[in-house]
Amino acid sequence: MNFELSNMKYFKFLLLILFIVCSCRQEKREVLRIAAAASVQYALKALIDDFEKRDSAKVQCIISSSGKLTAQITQGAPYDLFLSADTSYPGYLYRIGKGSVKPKIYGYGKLVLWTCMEIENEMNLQILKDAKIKKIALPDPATAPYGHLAEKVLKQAGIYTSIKDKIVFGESISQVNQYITTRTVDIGFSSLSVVLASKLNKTGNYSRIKAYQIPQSMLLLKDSKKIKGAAQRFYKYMQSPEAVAILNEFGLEK
Amino acid sequence: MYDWTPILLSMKLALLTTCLLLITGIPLAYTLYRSRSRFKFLFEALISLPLVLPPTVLGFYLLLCLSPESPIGKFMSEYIGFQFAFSFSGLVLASMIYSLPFMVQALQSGLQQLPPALSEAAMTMGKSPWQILTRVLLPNIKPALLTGIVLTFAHTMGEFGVVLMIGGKIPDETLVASISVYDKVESLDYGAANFYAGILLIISFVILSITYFINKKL
Repeated sequence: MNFELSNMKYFKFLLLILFIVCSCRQEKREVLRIAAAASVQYALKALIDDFEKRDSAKVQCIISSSGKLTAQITQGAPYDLFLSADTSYPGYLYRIGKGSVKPKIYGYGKLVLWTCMEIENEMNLQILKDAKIKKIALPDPATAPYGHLAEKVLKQAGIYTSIKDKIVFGESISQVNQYITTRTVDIGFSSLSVVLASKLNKTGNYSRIKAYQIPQSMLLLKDSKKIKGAAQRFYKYMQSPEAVAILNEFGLEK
Repeated sequence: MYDWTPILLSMKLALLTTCLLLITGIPLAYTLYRSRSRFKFLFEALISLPLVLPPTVLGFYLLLCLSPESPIGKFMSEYIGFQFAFSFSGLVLASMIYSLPFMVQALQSGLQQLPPALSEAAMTMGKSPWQILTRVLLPNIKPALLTGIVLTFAHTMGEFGVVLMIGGKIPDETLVASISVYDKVESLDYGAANFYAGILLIISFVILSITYFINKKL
């Protein structure tokens, strides 16, 4: 190896690499970016598969908790459509001028109690007090709507203070799912749309916390340089009977 | 079949960062090496900051500075048409700051280990500082150069916290391999997580093996 830097050979080589790396860009197909709450990720995947059969656009999704995605959008993240797990985050974004039209409700989420342990008793809130249950997972109430709801349910049932020490918080509903399916925790709160996902369908037992459901809305964002045609088309598709049928499959019906 | 784009994106980011840091790092390390300033320690501390700073701190400040809502970010996007937050160029900038000490420290310590007589002799022969650097010093610190390049590349491949703060997991743009592992684990797709994690492990091991092998020969 002979370093002859004086003749600028290596410098030119470096520039060449830079040039090649900078100039290799993927083909320009219309790309649509959807930011979605973790609880709807499996339903969204099914929706995208179906949508891409009808449309030439390529759909990318960014999954996180609704609160975090909202923070990113206020910081200028280049997303086209936002599917929240509630109505307050899209409402807030619309109020500060990030939406192009009013948020629209696309489904109703349901809270479930989910476990991968063997449980003999009936699954209800009371079993959380059982001494056999040592860790209970909740999505972070500050950024995840289902966590917020779960906390409210526990407080209303009057058992929050007695089980407070058993609670662990997941960053989003995804992390809670991970804790539950790997049995890092004994039981946790998740959403019906997660436990109904086909690949998780046979995992553990769940029970619905009745009387509580969260309306979930979506927001067409305007900060994505221009409102893309694909975003409009997906927005329209979300309200079509085909999409509603898929949403219902994942338990998001009213 | 798994998606290779996060891995390619990671490599592209690491390659670009390494090249840019090589171009900026050599003059920087040389200046520090030659400097007799009383305040040199301050600059050294500044350059080494990313080593000890939590990536979230760096990410947080970058986000504040670069988001289109901030004055700097607004100026950038309105007048230059460049958006840094949530974009690939933002990741390159962040990685350059984040990996700076790995390049500069390696080069600087390589330079400091050379006998001073080497550059003094070149100076008496009337060579300029630039000629001394490119013809005398750099050819003599090949192991340090290699170490700097490899550490920068590997460190950028493995970057996580900063990217998570300012990147936003956008496919083809900011969803690099390390973030992909996290993302796949979160969505309970352990097969895909295993794929990305395995490839990162292999790449890291191969890079380090090659480095040690070449350094033995240099």
